[in-house]
Amino acid sequence: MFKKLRGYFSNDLSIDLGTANTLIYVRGKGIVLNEPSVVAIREEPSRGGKKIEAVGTEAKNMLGRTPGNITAIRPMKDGVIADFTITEKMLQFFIEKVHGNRMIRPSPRVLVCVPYGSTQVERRAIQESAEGAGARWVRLIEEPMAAAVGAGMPVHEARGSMVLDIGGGTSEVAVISLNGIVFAGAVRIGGDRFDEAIINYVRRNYGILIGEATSERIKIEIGSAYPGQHVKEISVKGRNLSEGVPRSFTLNSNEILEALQEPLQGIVGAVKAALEQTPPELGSDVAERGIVLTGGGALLRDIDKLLMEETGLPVVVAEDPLTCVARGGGKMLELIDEHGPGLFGLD
Amino acid sequence: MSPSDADGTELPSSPGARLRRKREAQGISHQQAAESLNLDTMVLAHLEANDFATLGAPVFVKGHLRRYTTMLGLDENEIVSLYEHSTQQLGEPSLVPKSRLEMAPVRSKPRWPWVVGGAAIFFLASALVAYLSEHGLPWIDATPDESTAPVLQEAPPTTAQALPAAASTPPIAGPAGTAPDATAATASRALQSGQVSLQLKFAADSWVEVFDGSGKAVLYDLGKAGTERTLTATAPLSVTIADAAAVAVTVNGRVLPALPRAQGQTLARFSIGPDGSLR
Repeated sequence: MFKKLRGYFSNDLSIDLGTANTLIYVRGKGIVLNEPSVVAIREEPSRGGKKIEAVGTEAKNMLGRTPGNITAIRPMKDGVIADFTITEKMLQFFIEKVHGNRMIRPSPRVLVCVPYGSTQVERRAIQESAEGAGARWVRLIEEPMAAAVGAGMPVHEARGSMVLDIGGGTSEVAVISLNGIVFAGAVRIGGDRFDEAIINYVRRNYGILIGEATSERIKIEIGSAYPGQHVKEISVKGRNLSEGVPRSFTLNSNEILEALQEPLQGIVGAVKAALEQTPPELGSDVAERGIVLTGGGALLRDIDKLLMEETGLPVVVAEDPLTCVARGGGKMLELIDEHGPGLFGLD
Repeated sequence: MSPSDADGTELPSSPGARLRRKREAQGISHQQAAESLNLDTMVLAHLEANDFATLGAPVFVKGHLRRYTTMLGLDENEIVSLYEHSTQQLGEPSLVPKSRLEMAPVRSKPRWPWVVGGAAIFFLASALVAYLSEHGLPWIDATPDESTAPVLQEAPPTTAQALPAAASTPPIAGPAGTAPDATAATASRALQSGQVSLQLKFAADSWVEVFDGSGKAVLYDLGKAGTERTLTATAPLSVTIADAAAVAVTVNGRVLPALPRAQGQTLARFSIGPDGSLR
């Protein structure tokens, strides 16, 4: 009853609870929160427990730089919850941040996007986590569907639309027609695997250890998925494993391309498998209009060119691919209000 | 004024025309351009003709325009900006099937049941008001109604004749030879609680007054010899009979043996309780 009362003072939210970033779309306002899914926890044995030190960007800056009594962790792993309590606290923090400092604790209606391949147990954990964070109404929607809607694809038509959402923890490919998923596949490869691949490459070839944050910076600045005409370089610092002291060295984009080959081939393989499983009529629709890329991974340079070469199909990158899922969820929330949840096969 | 090309010729203002001109300037055929973009030649032709509606949605139009522009070495943002300012720009898809749009208003706002239901309630209310204004409230009226009919049928047989006080009741046609006690019990059950059935048979002319529990005069008349009065009223009844010897009284189907009267007088004054007993 109190949740319902508090709901009058809350906004409807669409949450993209991602492995790397959490985005919140508020109805009528757009994307209002885009923060890393990182929580820093301080151990306080004297006071008999743990305390949340920081959440989001502030906590991400602490990654790899924390003293013994503080741990900066990512509560989401491979698109699903790895630490239930911390995820709940992080969601609660973000929901309250979106609503500002109000007297009444918010109790919004929430649409949470979940990976297509997630199990019932994983979905239940996300739902209960959102409810524990104060939501009075929670619905889960599959990420590829939200990504396609957010990208502006005509998913309601009786035509096949293929979307590839490359997130932080998972990559999902789906063929959608008449507001429903006809076929979908997911691989647990995403931006995090790209970072790991770069860390491993640098350790193997240079004997230098770099952190996650440095690896992500290398990926964003010179990472590419297809050989380009121009070779870019970046200077980074890491700990030399044999000497044990920090050393500076230079990496170029061709090296990063080589480092990313394994995770990239995993994603290409998932797309090819999906095309093999797609019914022929829908496959021809996809061949005519093309595959749409969304998610943070779509920002990797020339990933569309790689997929075009590998599949022989046209590939386009959606506008603002990082926010497609959250925007799509918000749009679906509005349509559910107008036409009922049955429009997208929800109950 | 439109921008000019490197050779000084004015550039077309539409994105499709500008792309076509650039492609032709580079000597690339339709077929070659389509193959390098993995597109059908028809899709490329639609792009160059600014016929964007066939491409389905803005995401495809902008995506293909960007790819095509990059391939030709043009500024992709400029071409996309031209598209966004052109009259052929597509709107975002609605995501609601057209047939559903037609169905939605019918399903969400069915007004005819309210109209029909409201009209029916209005007519019923009007009819009830008209009936009550004509007949009054039947449950307040003390005159005997049809519910007394079974009681009257249980009464001892009499000669059929018109009775002024029971004019609205059906003619008495009770079965002959019914045991008085049995009829009394049946009559008591048939009567509403608190009501008493009273039957007066006049052997000679006699004045009679009967008041019911609320003090209302139920009977206030001269009973003629040979007539009979039957009434049902709410107890206790206050009865006054001028010539007690000439009137036979039956209460709830039970004949009273003798009426209480003062010594040397013909007048009897008594009360009848809810159970039919004298007081």
